[in-house]
Amino acid sequence: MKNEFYIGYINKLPKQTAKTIKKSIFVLIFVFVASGVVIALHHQKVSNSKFELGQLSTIEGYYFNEPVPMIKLLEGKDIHGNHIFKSIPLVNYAKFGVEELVGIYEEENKISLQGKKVKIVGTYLYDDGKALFELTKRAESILEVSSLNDPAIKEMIQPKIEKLGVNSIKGEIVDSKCYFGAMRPGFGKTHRACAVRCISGGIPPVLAATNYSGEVNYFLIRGSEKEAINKEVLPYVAEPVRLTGELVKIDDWMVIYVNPKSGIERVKN
Amino acid sequence: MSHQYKAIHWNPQKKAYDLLIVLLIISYLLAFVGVSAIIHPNLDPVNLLIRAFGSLSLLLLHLVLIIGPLCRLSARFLPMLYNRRHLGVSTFLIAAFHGILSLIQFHAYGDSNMLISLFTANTQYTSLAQFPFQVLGFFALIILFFMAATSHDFWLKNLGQNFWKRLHMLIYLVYILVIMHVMLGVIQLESSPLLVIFLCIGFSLVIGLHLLAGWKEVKLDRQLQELKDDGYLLVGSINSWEEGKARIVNNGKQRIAIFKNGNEFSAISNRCAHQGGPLGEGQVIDGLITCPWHGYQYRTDDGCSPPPFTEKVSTFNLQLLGDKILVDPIPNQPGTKGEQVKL
Ligand code: HEM
Ligand code: FES
Repeated sequence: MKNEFYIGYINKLPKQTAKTIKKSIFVLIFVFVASGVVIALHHQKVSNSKFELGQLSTIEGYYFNEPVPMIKLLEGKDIHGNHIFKSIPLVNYAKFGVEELVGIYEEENKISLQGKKVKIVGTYLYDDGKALFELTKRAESILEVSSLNDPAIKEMIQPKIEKLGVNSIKGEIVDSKCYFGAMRPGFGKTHRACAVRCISGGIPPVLAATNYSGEVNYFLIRGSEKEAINKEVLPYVAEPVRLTGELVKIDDWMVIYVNPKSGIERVKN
Repeated sequence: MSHQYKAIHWNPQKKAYDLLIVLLIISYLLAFVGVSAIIHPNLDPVNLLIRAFGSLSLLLLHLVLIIGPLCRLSARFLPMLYNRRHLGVSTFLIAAFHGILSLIQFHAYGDSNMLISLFTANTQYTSLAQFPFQVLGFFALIILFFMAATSHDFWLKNLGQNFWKRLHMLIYLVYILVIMHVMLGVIQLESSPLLVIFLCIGFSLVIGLHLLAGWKEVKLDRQLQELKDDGYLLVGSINSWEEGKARIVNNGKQRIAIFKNGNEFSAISNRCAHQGGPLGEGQVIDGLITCPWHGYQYRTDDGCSPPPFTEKVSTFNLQLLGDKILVDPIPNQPGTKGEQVKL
């Protein structure tokens, strides 16, 4: 390359330089495409959860604020003629829970929603047989509230409670909204900060525990006095933990009542 | 050069360069988004964009980092250096899109200001595995912002070459921050080793090329320092020059480029007044010493850029002893005439 010299503002590339640059351009394009493919292949952990974004549904069911604000839908009867209910925890738009919204609604309308029949409009989130419902239009999502007069119906909708004793369960604390569909993936290290934001905003925390056969079980997390312990679980979100507390099955959800001071410990993966 | 500042002095080389940048960006995004859409149709589209732009900015950062040493190793890569600042600014813009999208997706619409949330949502600052990796990305982005914002020659001039150069050396800090951002972030989530392998190859390439280029220069400096001769440094026999080119000696503090132009020898500082490019790797074009990096030019006798330009570099005095050229290691004031050797 004797005396070959490139000057940017003179517009012709010297011969050897042009050759090298041409080769480099091909190499670069190859490297960029190949890296795109390889890095895309690297991502494996994407969940199958769904968020019916933009698709509003109107549902009618019975409102309960324990263990978390949820609506109980009548799904039909089993072969023994027993009613089957599906309990659907409610979440607010964005990174907020519904407790505050329900409180304001109750105050403004001088009514308690507990045990009432409610009609709401919003968006479904679901995964793994569990569903959640987002009050997409916030307070305006609550369309109708009616009291139950028939004692038979009152009786029918009473939660079925099964106490399972004290248990220790290993898993990961996730924010239920993102995990069950608002974000995919909505768990693990990269989602930690977002999960903290959501749980801090009142979204119910859930322990997702994978058992030996790879099946995931879900436990709503409440304090040992049945209180919300969202703030207390924040430091433990999205990492391997063991929760110890009273295990109770309420209808189709498991709930673990944990003393936030003594019932949460970090564990190795 | 510096007589007036336009936003960008366009020329066909710069246009071709920018076209290539756009082409690379598009080919990466198409490959990444295409493959992701096929294998993970359920991936959140915002997360998909976050990942696509994050990983793309890291790839571009590698390119920014290897161009310097590649040019040191072979002048044939110099066209890649000519408009490197546009590559740097593109890297910043892509990274900014990634960072801002992440801030909105993971921190906005909650019970806290999103910038406060960035620092306080994850507080495991003492844990390695749980470390708030997003904060590392944030600092990298801030540094990239300052580099991109000062990339124009206007700032180079106003901040002074030394400060500007030091600021732009922070690119290595950015690289380390981003590697940690990825190692403590997405690599903690995924179990596939592909990204780790990718980072290792990238890291080896960056470090390897820098070592190779550094070693070449150290070797040169060592060899040349042995040529000392009472005060003046011995450069070499008048027959050892290629026409229009320089030989370089190191006076212990800086490198000196001694050019042969016809039967005239002249010495100037090896450091270009623009971004410190190696003048001794340049050539004499139309009687002017021309920097290999962006083509700034200096007169052989006094080290001044020809009017209307105002750059100046130091000159050095030369002597002829037999057929040997000797150089005074003490520089003259930048822009003043040095003693040349005329055969
Ligand atoms: C405000 C600044 C930033 C924030 C908040 C941020 C946030 C994030 C988050 C949350 C992820 C994980 C995404 C996921 O996979 O779910 C991520 C990944 C990543 N970030 Fe950043 N980041 C920032 C700046 C940067 C900068 C400046 C760079 C590079 C120049 C960068 C490069 C990357 C890379 C390469 C990944 C891995 C992408 C992948 O999943 O393959 N980030 N970042
Ligand atoms: S460093 Fe830019 S022209 Fe010399």
